[in-house]
Amino acid sequence: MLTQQLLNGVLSSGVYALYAVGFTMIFGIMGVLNMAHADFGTVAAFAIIWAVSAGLAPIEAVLIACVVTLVVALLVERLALRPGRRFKGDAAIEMPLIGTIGAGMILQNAAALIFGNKAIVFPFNLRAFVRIGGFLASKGLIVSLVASAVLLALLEILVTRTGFGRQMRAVAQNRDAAEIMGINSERVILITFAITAALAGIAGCLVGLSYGLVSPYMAVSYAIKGLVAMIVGGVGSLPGAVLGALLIGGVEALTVSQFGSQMRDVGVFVVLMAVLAIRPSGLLRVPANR
Amino acid sequence: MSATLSVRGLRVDYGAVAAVRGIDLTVGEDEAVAVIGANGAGKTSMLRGIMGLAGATAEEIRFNGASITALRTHAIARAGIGYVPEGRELFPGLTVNEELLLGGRFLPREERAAKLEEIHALFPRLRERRNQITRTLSGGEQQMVAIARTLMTRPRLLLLDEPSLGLAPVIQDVVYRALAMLRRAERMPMLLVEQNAHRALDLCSRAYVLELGQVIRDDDSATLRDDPMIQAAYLGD
Repeated sequence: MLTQQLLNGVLSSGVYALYAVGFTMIFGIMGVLNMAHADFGTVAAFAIIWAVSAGLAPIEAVLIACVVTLVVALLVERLALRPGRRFKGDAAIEMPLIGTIGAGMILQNAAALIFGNKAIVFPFNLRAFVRIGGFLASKGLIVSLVASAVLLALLEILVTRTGFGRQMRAVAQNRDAAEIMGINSERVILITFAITAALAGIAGCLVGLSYGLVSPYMAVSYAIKGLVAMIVGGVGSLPGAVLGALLIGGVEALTVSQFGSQMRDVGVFVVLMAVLAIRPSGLLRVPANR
Repeated sequence: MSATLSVRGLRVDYGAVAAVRGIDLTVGEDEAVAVIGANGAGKTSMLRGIMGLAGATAEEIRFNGASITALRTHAIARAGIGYVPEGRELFPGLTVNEELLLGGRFLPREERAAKLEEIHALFPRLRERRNQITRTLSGGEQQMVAIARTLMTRPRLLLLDEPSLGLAPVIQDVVYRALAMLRRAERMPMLLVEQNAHRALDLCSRAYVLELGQVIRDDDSATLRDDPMIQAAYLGD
Protein backbone atom coordinates (compact mmCIF):
# COMPACT_ATOMS: atom_id res chain seq x y z
CA MET A 1 0.00 0.00 0.00
CA LEU A 2 2.74 2.40 0.98
CA THR A 3 4.78 1.46 -2.07
CA GLN A 4 1.75 1.99 -4.29
CA GLN A 5 1.31 5.49 -2.84
CA LEU A 6 4.98 6.31 -3.33
CA LEU A 7 4.76 5.08 -6.91
CA ASN A 8 1.81 7.41 -7.52
CA GLY A 9 3.82 10.24 -6.01
CA VAL A 10 6.85 9.62 -8.18
CA LEU A 11 4.67 9.34 -11.29
CA SER A 12 2.98 12.69 -10.67
CA SER A 13 6.28 14.42 -9.88
CA GLY A 14 7.35 14.51 -13.54
CA VAL A 15 4.98 17.34 -14.33
CA TYR A 16 5.94 19.16 -11.11
CA ALA A 17 9.59 18.97 -12.18
CA LEU A 18 8.78 20.42 -15.61
CA TYR A 19 7.11 23.40 -13.97
CA ALA A 20 9.83 23.74 -11.33
CA VAL A 21 12.75 23.92 -13.79
CA GLY A 22 10.95 26.71 -15.64
CA PHE A 23 10.64 28.75 -12.45
CA THR A 24 14.25 28.12 -11.53
CA MET A 25 15.64 28.94 -15.00
CA ILE A 26 13.80 32.24 -15.16
CA PHE A 27 14.90 33.10 -11.64
CA GLY A 28 18.44 32.06 -12.48
CA ILE A 29 18.82 34.14 -15.60
CA MET A 30 16.56 37.11 -14.85
CA GLY A 31 16.60 37.22 -11.06
CA VAL A 32 12.79 37.43 -10.94
CA LEU A 33 9.83 35.12 -10.40
CA ASN A 34 7.48 34.58 -13.32
CA MET A 35 4.19 34.01 -11.52
CA ALA A 36 2.40 33.44 -14.85
CA HIS A 37 4.75 30.55 -15.70
CA ALA A 38 2.36 27.68 -14.92
CA ASP A 39 -0.44 29.49 -16.76
CA PHE A 40 1.46 28.89 -20.01
CA GLY A 41 0.58 25.23 -19.45
CA THR A 42 -3.10 26.10 -19.20
CA VAL A 43 -2.86 28.20 -22.35
CA ALA A 44 -1.34 25.28 -24.28
CA ALA A 45 -3.93 22.79 -23.00
CA PHE A 46 -6.85 25.08 -23.87
CA ALA A 47 -5.37 25.89 -27.27
CA ILE A 48 -5.47 22.16 -28.02
CA ILE A 49 -9.06 21.88 -26.75
CA TRP A 50 -10.06 24.79 -28.96
CA ALA A 51 -8.27 23.49 -32.04
CA VAL A 52 -9.73 19.98 -31.72
CA SER A 53 -13.25 21.29 -31.18
CA ALA A 54 -12.77 23.41 -34.32
CA GLY A 55 -12.26 20.14 -36.21
CA LEU A 56 -8.48 20.25 -36.69
CA ALA A 57 -6.31 17.16 -36.77
CA PRO A 58 -4.28 16.34 -33.63
CA ILE A 59 -0.96 17.35 -35.22
CA GLU A 60 -2.44 20.68 -36.31
CA ALA A 61 -3.79 21.19 -32.81
CA VAL A 62 -0.32 20.65 -31.33
CA LEU A 63 1.24 23.12 -33.78
CA ILE A 64 -1.41 25.72 -32.96
CA ALA A 65 -0.84 25.17 -29.25
CA CYS A 66 2.90 25.79 -29.75
CA VAL A 67 2.30 29.03 -31.63
CA VAL A 68 -0.36 30.32 -29.22
CA THR A 69 1.72 29.49 -26.14
CA LEU A 70 4.84 31.16 -27.53
CA VAL A 71 2.94 34.28 -28.59
CA VAL A 72 1.29 34.56 -25.17
CA ALA A 73 4.61 33.95 -23.39
CA LEU A 74 6.48 36.56 -25.44
CA LEU A 75 3.67 39.06 -24.81
CA VAL A 76 3.90 38.44 -21.06
CA GLU A 77 7.67 38.86 -21.24
CA ARG A 78 7.37 42.09 -23.20
CA LEU A 79 4.63 43.65 -21.07
CA ALA A 80 5.23 42.31 -17.56
CA LEU A 81 8.92 41.40 -17.32
CA ARG A 82 10.99 43.53 -19.66
CA PRO A 83 9.93 46.91 -18.21
CA GLY A 84 11.44 45.85 -14.87
CA ARG A 85 14.89 45.36 -16.42
CA ARG A 86 15.28 49.11 -16.81
CA PHE A 87 15.50 49.46 -13.04
CA LYS A 88 17.98 48.46 -10.38
CA GLY A 89 17.15 47.33 -6.85
CA ASP A 90 13.70 46.46 -5.51
CA ALA A 91 11.72 47.79 -8.48
CA ALA A 92 13.53 45.39 -10.80
CA ILE A 93 12.15 42.48 -8.74
CA GLU A 94 8.76 43.82 -7.67
CA MET A 95 7.55 45.06 -11.06
CA PRO A 96 7.85 41.66 -12.78
CA LEU A 97 6.47 39.90 -9.68
CA ILE A 98 3.30 41.97 -9.60
CA GLY A 99 3.12 42.18 -13.38
CA THR A 100 3.22 38.42 -13.84
CA ILE A 101 0.70 37.80 -11.03
CA GLY A 102 -1.59 40.13 -12.98
CA ALA A 103 -0.80 38.42 -16.26
CA GLY A 104 -1.62 35.05 -14.68
CA MET A 105 -5.00 36.35 -13.46
CA ILE A 106 -5.79 37.69 -16.92
CA LEU A 107 -4.90 34.37 -18.56
CA GLN A 108 -6.95 32.35 -16.04
CA ASN A 109 -10.01 34.54 -16.37
CA ALA A 110 -9.72 34.79 -20.13
CA ALA A 111 -9.77 30.98 -20.26
CA ALA A 112 -12.74 30.92 -17.88
CA LEU A 113 -14.61 33.48 -20.01
CA ILE A 114 -14.06 31.57 -23.24
CA PHE A 115 -14.39 27.97 -22.01
CA GLY A 116 -16.43 28.35 -18.80
CA ASN A 117 -15.04 28.23 -15.29
CA LYS A 118 -15.37 24.49 -14.73
CA ALA A 119 -12.93 21.74 -15.55
CA ILE A 120 -13.45 20.49 -19.09
CA VAL A 121 -12.54 17.30 -20.87
CA PHE A 122 -9.18 17.18 -22.62
CA PRO A 123 -9.62 15.59 -26.09
CA PHE A 124 -6.78 13.11 -25.62
CA ASN A 125 -6.36 10.95 -22.59
CA LEU A 126 -4.54 7.90 -21.33
CA ARG A 127 -6.46 7.21 -18.15
CA ALA A 128 -6.21 3.44 -18.35
CA PHE A 129 -4.12 1.65 -15.73
CA VAL A 130 -1.44 -0.90 -16.27
CA ARG A 131 -0.14 -3.45 -13.82
CA ILE A 132 3.58 -3.38 -13.05
CA GLY A 133 4.68 -6.12 -10.69
CA GLY A 134 1.57 -6.06 -8.60
CA PHE A 135 1.21 -2.29 -8.58
CA LEU A 136 -1.17 -0.14 -10.57
CA ALA A 137 0.05 2.81 -12.60
CA SER A 138 -1.82 5.21 -14.85
CA LYS A 139 -0.63 5.10 -18.47
CA GLY A 140 -0.87 8.88 -18.76
CA LEU A 141 1.29 9.41 -15.69
CA ILE A 142 3.88 6.95 -16.97
CA VAL A 143 3.98 8.80 -20.30
CA SER A 144 4.27 12.15 -18.55
CA LEU A 145 7.03 10.94 -16.24
CA VAL A 146 9.04 9.52 -19.16
CA ALA A 147 8.46 12.63 -21.29
CA SER A 148 9.49 14.88 -18.39
CA ALA A 149 12.62 12.84 -17.72
CA VAL A 150 13.68 13.02 -21.37
CA LEU A 151 13.03 16.76 -21.59
CA LEU A 152 14.87 17.44 -18.34
CA ALA A 153 17.86 15.41 -19.51
CA LEU A 154 17.93 17.37 -22.80
CA LEU A 155 17.70 20.61 -20.85
CA GLU A 156 20.60 19.63 -18.59
CA ILE A 157 22.70 18.82 -21.68
CA LEU A 158 21.73 22.14 -23.28
CA VAL A 159 22.76 24.12 -20.20
CA THR A 160 25.97 22.31 -19.29
CA ARG A 161 27.34 21.05 -22.62
CA THR A 162 26.47 23.49 -25.40
CA GLY A 163 27.73 26.89 -26.45
CA PHE A 164 24.31 28.40 -25.96
CA GLY A 165 24.17 26.88 -22.47
CA ARG A 166 27.49 28.55 -21.69
CA GLN A 167 25.99 31.86 -22.82
CA MET A 168 22.95 31.25 -20.60
CA ARG A 169 25.16 30.60 -17.60
CA ALA A 170 27.27 33.66 -18.42
CA VAL A 171 24.21 35.93 -18.56
CA ALA A 172 22.88 34.40 -15.32
CA GLN A 173 26.17 34.91 -13.49
CA ASN A 174 27.18 38.37 -14.69
CA ARG A 175 25.06 40.15 -17.24
CA ASP A 176 27.39 43.13 -17.91
CA ALA A 177 30.35 40.80 -18.33
CA ALA A 178 28.34 38.71 -20.79
CA GLU A 179 27.61 41.84 -22.83
CA ILE A 180 31.27 42.87 -22.98
CA MET A 181 32.04 39.37 -24.25
CA GLY A 182 29.73 40.13 -27.18
CA ILE A 183 26.74 38.15 -25.88
CA ASN A 184 23.38 39.69 -26.72
CA SER A 185 21.90 39.16 -23.25
CA GLU A 186 18.39 40.28 -24.27
CA ARG A 187 18.36 37.60 -26.95
CA VAL A 188 19.62 34.91 -24.56
CA ILE A 189 16.93 35.90 -22.04
CA LEU A 190 14.19 35.78 -24.69
CA ILE A 191 15.23 32.35 -25.95
CA THR A 192 15.46 31.03 -22.38
CA PHE A 193 12.01 32.41 -21.68
CA ALA A 194 10.63 30.72 -24.78
CA ILE A 195 12.20 27.41 -23.71
CA THR A 196 10.60 27.60 -20.26
CA ALA A 197 7.24 28.50 -21.81
CA ALA A 198 7.49 25.46 -24.08
CA LEU A 199 8.25 23.23 -21.08
CA ALA A 200 5.25 24.67 -19.21
CA GLY A 201 3.08 24.17 -22.30
CA ILE A 202 4.09 20.52 -22.52
CA ALA A 203 3.48 20.11 -18.79
CA GLY A 204 -0.04 21.52 -19.16
CA CYS A 205 -0.83 19.09 -21.98
CA LEU A 206 0.61 16.17 -19.99
CA VAL A 207 -1.76 17.08 -17.14
CA GLY A 208 -4.67 16.91 -19.56
CA LEU A 209 -3.40 13.63 -20.96
CA SER A 210 -2.97 12.04 -17.52
CA TYR A 211 -6.12 13.20 -15.76
CA GLY A 212 -8.41 13.77 -18.77
CA LEU A 213 -9.52 17.15 -17.41
CA VAL A 214 -8.14 20.67 -17.40
CA SER A 215 -9.44 23.76 -15.63
CA PRO A 216 -8.76 27.45 -16.20
CA TYR A 217 -7.45 27.75 -12.64
CA MET A 218 -5.35 24.59 -12.51
CA ALA A 219 -2.15 26.63 -12.88
CA VAL A 220 -2.50 27.97 -9.33
CA SER A 221 -1.82 24.63 -7.66
CA TYR A 222 0.90 23.67 -10.16
CA ALA A 223 2.58 27.05 -9.64
CA ILE A 224 2.63 26.42 -5.89
CA LYS A 225 4.13 22.96 -6.37
CA GLY A 226 6.64 24.18 -8.92
CA LEU A 227 7.73 27.06 -6.68
CA VAL A 228 7.97 24.85 -3.59
CA ALA A 229 9.94 22.22 -5.55
CA MET A 230 12.33 24.95 -6.71
CA ILE A 231 12.83 26.34 -3.20
CA VAL A 232 13.15 22.92 -1.56
CA GLY A 233 15.66 21.74 -4.16
CA GLY A 234 17.72 24.93 -4.13
CA VAL A 235 16.95 27.99 -6.24
CA GLY A 236 18.89 28.05 -9.51
CA SER A 237 19.74 24.34 -9.54
CA LEU A 238 18.15 22.15 -12.22
CA PRO A 239 18.86 18.82 -10.44
CA GLY A 240 17.58 20.50 -7.26
CA ALA A 241 14.27 21.30 -8.94
CA VAL A 242 13.90 17.68 -9.99
CA LEU A 243 14.76 16.42 -6.50
CA GLY A 244 12.29 18.90 -4.98
CA ALA A 245 9.57 17.72 -7.37
CA LEU A 246 10.16 14.07 -6.44
CA LEU A 247 10.01 14.91 -2.74
CA ILE A 248 6.80 16.87 -3.16
CA GLY A 249 5.18 14.19 -5.31
CA GLY A 250 5.98 11.58 -2.68
CA VAL A 251 4.90 13.66 0.31
CA GLU A 252 1.70 14.67 -1.42
CA ALA A 253 0.75 11.08 -2.22
CA LEU A 254 1.48 9.97 1.36
CA THR A 255 -0.50 12.89 2.83
CA VAL A 256 -3.50 12.07 0.66
CA SER A 257 -3.42 8.40 1.58
CA GLN A 258 -2.95 8.99 5.32
CA PHE A 259 -5.08 12.08 5.90
CA GLY A 260 -7.37 12.36 2.87
CA SER A 261 -7.26 14.52 -0.22
CA GLN A 262 -8.43 17.68 1.53
CA MET A 263 -5.00 17.69 3.24
CA ARG A 264 -3.19 17.43 -0.13
CA ASP A 265 -1.33 20.75 0.02
CA VAL A 266 -0.69 20.71 3.76
CA GLY A 267 2.02 18.08 3.50
CA VAL A 268 3.70 20.08 0.73
CA PHE A 269 3.82 23.19 2.89
CA VAL A 270 5.10 21.25 5.89
CA VAL A 271 8.02 20.07 3.74
CA LEU A 272 8.61 23.65 2.57
CA MET A 273 8.70 24.96 6.15
CA ALA A 274 10.91 22.12 7.35
CA VAL A 275 13.45 22.72 4.57
CA LEU A 276 13.40 26.48 5.12
CA ALA A 277 13.99 25.94 8.84
CA ILE A 278 16.76 23.36 8.53
CA ARG A 279 18.43 24.19 5.21
CA PRO A 280 17.16 27.55 3.98
CA SER A 281 19.26 27.55 0.81
CA GLY A 282 17.58 24.33 -0.35
CA LEU A 283 18.83 20.78 -0.63
CA LEU A 284 21.11 21.31 -3.64
CA ARG A 285 21.88 25.00 -3.56
CA VAL A 286 24.71 25.72 -5.98
CA PRO A 287 27.42 27.42 -3.90
CA ALA A 288 27.79 31.20 -4.33
CA ASN A 289 26.48 33.01 -7.38
CA ARG A 290 24.64 30.00 -8.75
CA MET B 1 46.37 58.75 -40.28
CA SER B 2 42.97 57.23 -39.60
CA ALA B 3 42.25 56.75 -35.92
CA THR B 4 41.34 53.38 -34.40
CA LEU B 5 39.13 55.07 -31.84
CA SER B 6 37.92 58.65 -31.76
CA VAL B 7 35.65 59.96 -29.05
CA ARG B 8 34.01 63.36 -29.14
CA GLY B 9 32.02 65.00 -26.35
CA LEU B 10 31.62 61.98 -24.07
CA ARG B 11 29.55 62.68 -20.96
CA VAL B 12 28.58 60.31 -18.16
CA ASP B 13 26.08 61.48 -15.56
CA TYR B 14 24.99 59.62 -12.43
CA GLY B 15 21.83 61.49 -11.53
CA ALA B 16 22.90 65.05 -10.79
CA VAL B 17 26.57 64.13 -10.54
CA ALA B 18 28.65 64.44 -13.71
CA ALA B 19 31.45 61.84 -13.68
CA VAL B 20 32.69 62.60 -17.20
CA ARG B 21 32.10 66.07 -18.60
CA GLY B 22 32.79 66.19 -22.28
CA ILE B 23 35.92 64.21 -23.09
CA ASP B 24 37.54 64.12 -26.54
CA LEU B 25 40.21 61.54 -27.20
CA THR B 26 41.71 59.47 -29.97
CA VAL B 27 43.70 56.28 -30.18
CA GLY B 28 45.68 56.16 -33.41
CA GLU B 29 46.35 53.13 -35.53
CA ASP B 30 48.87 50.87 -33.74
CA GLU B 31 48.97 53.28 -30.81
CA ALA B 32 48.93 52.58 -27.06
CA VAL B 33 47.46 55.49 -25.11
CA ALA B 34 47.33 55.86 -21.34
CA VAL B 35 44.79 57.69 -19.23
CA ILE B 36 46.09 58.69 -15.83
CA GLY B 37 44.40 60.54 -13.03
CA ALA B 38 43.48 60.40 -9.38
CA ASN B 39 40.71 58.30 -7.86
CA GLY B 40 37.34 59.64 -8.95
CA ALA B 41 38.71 61.51 -11.96
CA GLY B 42 36.23 59.64 -14.16
CA LYS B 43 38.59 57.12 -15.76
CA THR B 44 36.43 54.05 -15.22
CA SER B 45 33.24 55.93 -16.12
CA MET B 46 34.91 57.02 -19.34
CA LEU B 47 35.65 53.42 -20.37
CA ARG B 48 32.18 52.25 -19.35
CA GLY B 49 30.76 55.13 -21.37
CA ILE B 50 32.67 54.09 -24.47
CA MET B 51 31.35 50.52 -24.01
CA GLY B 52 27.75 51.71 -23.71
CA LEU B 53 27.46 50.50 -20.11
CA ALA B 54 27.06 53.75 -18.20
CA GLY B 55 24.09 55.43 -19.84
CA ALA B 56 26.60 57.85 -21.34
CA THR B 57 25.97 60.38 -24.07
CA ALA B 58 28.49 61.30 -26.71
CA GLU B 59 28.45 63.51 -29.78
CA GLU B 60 30.23 60.77 -31.61
CA ILE B 61 32.31 57.66 -31.01
CA ARG B 62 33.97 56.14 -34.07
CA PHE B 63 35.84 52.87 -34.22
CA ASN B 64 37.90 52.09 -37.33
CA GLY B 65 35.88 54.65 -39.24
CA ALA B 66 32.38 53.43 -38.28
CA SER B 67 30.14 55.11 -35.76
CA ILE B 68 29.45 53.00 -32.65
CA THR B 69 27.73 55.81 -30.75
CA ALA B 70 24.29 54.21 -30.73
CA LEU B 71 25.31 50.55 -30.47
CA ARG B 72 24.52 48.33 -27.48
CA THR B 73 27.38 46.89 -25.45
CA HIS B 74 27.49 43.45 -27.07
CA ALA B 75 27.49 45.00 -30.55
CA ILE B 76 30.38 47.28 -29.59
CA ALA B 77 32.27 44.24 -28.32
CA ARG B 78 31.57 42.36 -31.54
CA ALA B 79 32.73 45.33 -33.60
CA GLY B 80 36.16 44.53 -32.14
CA ILE B 81 36.63 46.45 -28.91
CA GLY B 82 37.92 44.19 -26.14
CA TYR B 83 37.18 45.61 -22.71
CA VAL B 84 38.96 44.32 -19.60
CA PRO B 85 36.99 45.96 -16.79
CA GLU B 86 38.13 47.05 -13.37
CA GLY B 87 37.68 44.23 -10.88
CA ARG B 88 37.86 41.65 -13.71
CA GLU B 89 34.11 40.87 -13.82
CA LEU B 90 34.60 37.17 -14.39
CA PHE B 91 31.80 34.59 -14.36
CA PRO B 92 32.17 33.08 -10.89
CA GLY B 93 30.83 29.63 -11.83
CA LEU B 94 32.72 29.03 -15.07
CA THR B 95 36.08 27.33 -15.40
CA VAL B 96 39.11 29.02 -16.93
CA ASN B 97 38.61 27.11 -20.16
CA GLU B 98 34.91 27.96 -20.32
CA GLU B 99 35.74 31.66 -19.98
CA LEU B 100 38.23 31.38 -22.83
CA LEU B 101 35.85 29.39 -25.06
CA LEU B 102 33.14 31.97 -24.43
CA GLY B 103 35.53 34.57 -25.83
CA GLY B 104 36.55 32.40 -28.78
CA ARG B 105 33.11 31.14 -29.75
CA PHE B 106 33.01 32.91 -33.13
CA LEU B 107 36.39 31.59 -34.27
CA PRO B 108 36.59 28.59 -36.60
CA ARG B 109 37.77 25.45 -34.81
CA GLU B 110 41.44 25.43 -35.87
CA GLU B 111 41.84 29.13 -35.33
CA ARG B 112 40.34 28.80 -31.86
CA ALA B 113 42.79 26.05 -30.96
CA ALA B 114 45.69 28.14 -32.27
CA LYS B 115 44.53 31.20 -30.34
CA LEU B 116 44.21 29.12 -27.17
CA GLU B 117 47.75 27.87 -27.71
CA GLU B 118 48.97 31.47 -28.12
CA ILE B 119 47.26 32.50 -24.90
CA HIS B 120 48.70 29.59 -22.98
CA ALA B 121 52.11 30.69 -24.19
CA LEU B 122 51.39 34.23 -22.98
CA PHE B 123 50.03 33.05 -19.60
CA PRO B 124 51.33 29.50 -18.91
CA ARG B 125 49.51 29.60 -15.54
CA LEU B 126 46.17 29.43 -17.33
CA ARG B 127 47.05 26.11 -18.91
CA GLU B 128 47.71 24.62 -15.46
CA ARG B 129 44.47 26.06 -14.13
CA ARG B 130 42.28 25.36 -17.16
CA ASN B 131 39.64 23.28 -15.37
CA GLN B 132 39.50 25.38 -12.23
CA ILE B 133 36.45 27.50 -11.39
CA THR B 134 37.53 31.12 -11.74
CA ARG B 135 36.12 32.12 -8.34
CA THR B 136 38.83 30.02 -6.69
CA LEU B 137 41.77 31.65 -8.53
CA SER B 138 44.13 34.22 -7.05
CA GLY B 139 43.65 37.87 -8.01
CA GLY B 140 46.54 37.77 -10.45
CA GLU B 141 45.27 34.63 -12.15
CA GLN B 142 41.80 36.18 -12.41
CA GLN B 143 43.33 39.23 -14.08
CA MET B 144 45.08 36.93 -16.54
CA VAL B 145 41.76 35.22 -17.33
CA ALA B 146 40.09 38.60 -17.85
CA ILE B 147 42.76 39.65 -20.36
CA ALA B 148 42.98 36.21 -21.98
CA ARG B 149 39.26 35.75 -22.56
CA THR B 150 39.17 39.19 -24.18
CA LEU B 151 42.09 38.30 -26.45
CA MET B 152 40.16 35.17 -27.48
CA THR B 153 37.61 37.50 -29.13
CA ARG B 154 40.47 38.78 -31.38
CA PRO B 155 39.88 42.43 -30.53
CA ARG B 156 41.23 45.21 -32.71
CA LEU B 157 41.49 47.55 -29.72
CA LEU B 158 41.97 46.77 -26.02
CA LEU B 159 40.43 48.92 -23.32
CA LEU B 160 42.13 48.08 -20.04
CA ASP B 161 40.93 49.36 -16.68
CA GLU B 162 43.51 49.24 -13.88
CA PRO B 163 45.04 45.86 -14.77
CA SER B 164 47.51 46.18 -11.86
CA LEU B 165 44.94 47.03 -9.19
CA GLY B 166 45.27 44.93 -6.05
CA LEU B 167 48.06 42.75 -7.43
CA ALA B 168 51.46 42.08 -5.85
CA PRO B 169 54.31 43.80 -7.76
CA VAL B 170 55.61 40.46 -9.07
CA ILE B 171 52.22 39.66 -10.57
CA GLN B 172 51.92 43.20 -11.94
CA ASP B 173 55.19 42.47 -13.77
CA VAL B 174 53.70 39.33 -15.33
CA VAL B 175 50.61 41.22 -16.51
CA TYR B 176 52.58 44.15 -17.89
CA ARG B 177 55.11 41.89 -19.60
CA ALA B 178 52.20 40.22 -21.40
CA LEU B 179 50.79 43.61 -22.45
CA ALA B 180 54.23 44.70 -23.71
CA MET B 181 54.46 41.45 -25.67
CA LEU B 182 51.11 42.18 -27.30
CA ARG B 183 52.41 45.59 -28.28
CA ARG B 184 55.61 44.19 -29.74
CA ALA B 185 54.21 41.14 -31.48
CA GLU B 186 50.82 42.36 -32.71
CA ARG B 187 51.02 46.17 -32.36
CA MET B 188 47.70 45.83 -30.53
CA PRO B 189 46.11 49.28 -30.08
CA MET B 190 45.35 49.98 -26.43
CA LEU B 191 43.62 52.52 -24.26
CA LEU B 192 44.98 51.91 -20.78
CA VAL B 193 43.49 53.42 -17.64
CA GLU B 194 45.91 53.13 -14.75
CA GLN B 195 46.57 54.74 -11.38
CA ASN B 196 50.08 53.41 -11.46
CA ALA B 197 51.31 56.15 -13.80
CA HIS B 198 54.86 54.77 -13.97
CA ARG B 199 53.71 51.55 -15.55
CA ALA B 200 51.22 53.30 -17.82
CA LEU B 201 53.76 55.77 -19.18
CA ASP B 202 56.31 53.01 -19.71
CA LEU B 203 53.92 50.97 -21.85
CA CYS B 204 52.24 53.79 -23.77
CA SER B 205 53.70 56.42 -26.04
CA ARG B 206 51.12 59.07 -25.24
CA ALA B 207 48.81 59.88 -22.33
CA TYR B 208 45.81 61.90 -21.30
CA VAL B 209 45.61 63.32 -17.80
CA LEU B 210 42.08 63.33 -16.37
CA GLU B 211 40.86 65.54 -13.57
CA LEU B 212 37.25 65.88 -12.40
CA GLY B 213 35.90 64.30 -15.55
CA GLN B 214 37.86 66.43 -17.98
CA VAL B 215 41.09 66.09 -19.94
CA ILE B 216 43.59 68.60 -18.52
CA ARG B 217 46.71 67.45 -20.39
CA ASP B 218 47.47 65.43 -23.49
CA ASP B 219 51.10 64.79 -24.32
CA ASP B 220 53.86 62.32 -25.11
CA SER B 221 54.74 59.97 -22.28
CA ALA B 222 58.34 61.23 -22.23
CA THR B 223 57.26 64.85 -21.90
CA LEU B 224 54.80 64.04 -19.14
CA ARG B 225 57.37 61.98 -17.26
CA ASP B 226 59.76 64.96 -17.20
CA ASP B 227 57.12 67.47 -16.18
CA PRO B 228 57.62 68.49 -12.52
CA MET B 229 53.90 69.10 -12.03
CA ILE B 230 52.98 65.62 -13.30
CA GLN B 231 55.78 64.11 -11.23
CA ALA B 232 54.48 65.74 -8.08
CA ALA B 233 50.83 64.85 -8.69
CA TYR B 234 50.95 61.38 -10.27
CA LEU B 235 54.41 59.89 -10.18
CA GLY B 236 55.00 60.39 -6.49
CA ASP B 237 58.66 61.34 -6.69
